[in-house]
Amino acid sequence: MGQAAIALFFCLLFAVKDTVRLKEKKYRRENAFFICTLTLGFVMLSLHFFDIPLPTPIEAIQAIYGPVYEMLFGWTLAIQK
Amino acid sequence: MENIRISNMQLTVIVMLVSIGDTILVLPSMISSIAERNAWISALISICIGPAVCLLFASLQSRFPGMTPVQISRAVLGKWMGNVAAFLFVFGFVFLMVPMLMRELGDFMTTQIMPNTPIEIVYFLFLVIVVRGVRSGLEPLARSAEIFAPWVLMLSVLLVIFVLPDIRLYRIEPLFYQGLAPVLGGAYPFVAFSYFEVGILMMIFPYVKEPKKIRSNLLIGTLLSGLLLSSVIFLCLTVFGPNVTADLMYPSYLLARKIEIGEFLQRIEVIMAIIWLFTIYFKMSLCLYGTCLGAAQLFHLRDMKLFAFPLALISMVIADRSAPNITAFTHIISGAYPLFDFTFAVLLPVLLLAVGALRKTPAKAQVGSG
Repeated sequence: MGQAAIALFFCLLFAVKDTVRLKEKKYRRENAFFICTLTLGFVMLSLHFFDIPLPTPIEAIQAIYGPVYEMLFGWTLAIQK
Repeated sequence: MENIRISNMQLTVIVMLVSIGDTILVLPSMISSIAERNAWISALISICIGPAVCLLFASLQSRFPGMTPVQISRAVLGKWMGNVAAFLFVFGFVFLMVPMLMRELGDFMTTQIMPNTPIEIVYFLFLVIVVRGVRSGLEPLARSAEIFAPWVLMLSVLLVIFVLPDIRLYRIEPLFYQGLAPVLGGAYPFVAFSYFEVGILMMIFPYVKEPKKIRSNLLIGTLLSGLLLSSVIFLCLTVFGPNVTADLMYPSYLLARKIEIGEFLQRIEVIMAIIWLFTIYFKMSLCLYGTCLGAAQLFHLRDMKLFAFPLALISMVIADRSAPNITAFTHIISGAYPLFDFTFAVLLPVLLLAVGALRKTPAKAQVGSG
């Protein structure tokens, strides 16, 4: 948990620096996106440090491309024989 | 978005570093497990296939000069389909490479160099310098690549020279003893990791000073990296033999450990680690830079750099959650992941070129525009 605390402290420093600059009206859209991505980052990091399972894109890739790879691999083995 | 320019020499250097990237340590083992003693032939075949893939990127750039894949997708596929394709390219292909590289780096550091350090600390420290690099901008990144590339080349050449006395050619004989299929299968991870992933650089092509020379820059960069990687694979096979190379997780790192000259020059494997840290840093920084640029273009934002930090945070979590252990991670990256790379590095550019030709989409120069 110590590592998480250090990481979050530095994250907060970065975030505060950017948020101060984004206060201007012309950066309203940037501000909204920044807050959204930062919140997502914090939520994911917190869930991760509390060992709550999260779905990752890697699982999706494995689910979509895994069967295709197995098929190609089987096909290559068949050619070899 | 940014009034920046990088020279063609810098692009060549970047192509070389990105192409070497994470592959120099993990590729020899991957290829040897498929092609065994003929892995070096797989590497040579890859050097022939790889530049053809890179020519595809150059063709897309010359057909739509001054545009990133995000802008090209929108222009060719229309607003909705274009945005979906661009979103998948940016967040699926370019961004996902950051956590994958980070996981490889973390696994390497915690198994070989710093076994008692938590992997999160390795991620965090490396991400701080990556985010710093991205926030500095493309020009400083390209300039630093120009400074570090000669070191990478020099250290690699030194490694090759020092290992030469341990070469035993009988370890790679006989040639093609299992036919051509395993040799071609061995070329599959080589092409995917060294050449498909160069596709992330399509995001920075609009910032190159002389776009007409991009084709030759890509060819020279990929040829240099291909030769370097092939020689490392050849050395691993002739020094360790195919079975040991396939069983080791990082054979090229252990290759450097074999160096022993006059009992005073030994245990210099950290040379290999330094080469790898340089190349992986540039690859990761350019991936994160490409993601920030792509996100800014997708959502019409003025400032792209502020996304570097939140995206780095997210990638840290994805890196740790991507696989339960190093064996499962290796299974993913050597199996299904190259096919995923193929979708975005080959299928998407071919689709954009084909639809662009059918619809006769005009090529609008939008250098640096969001």
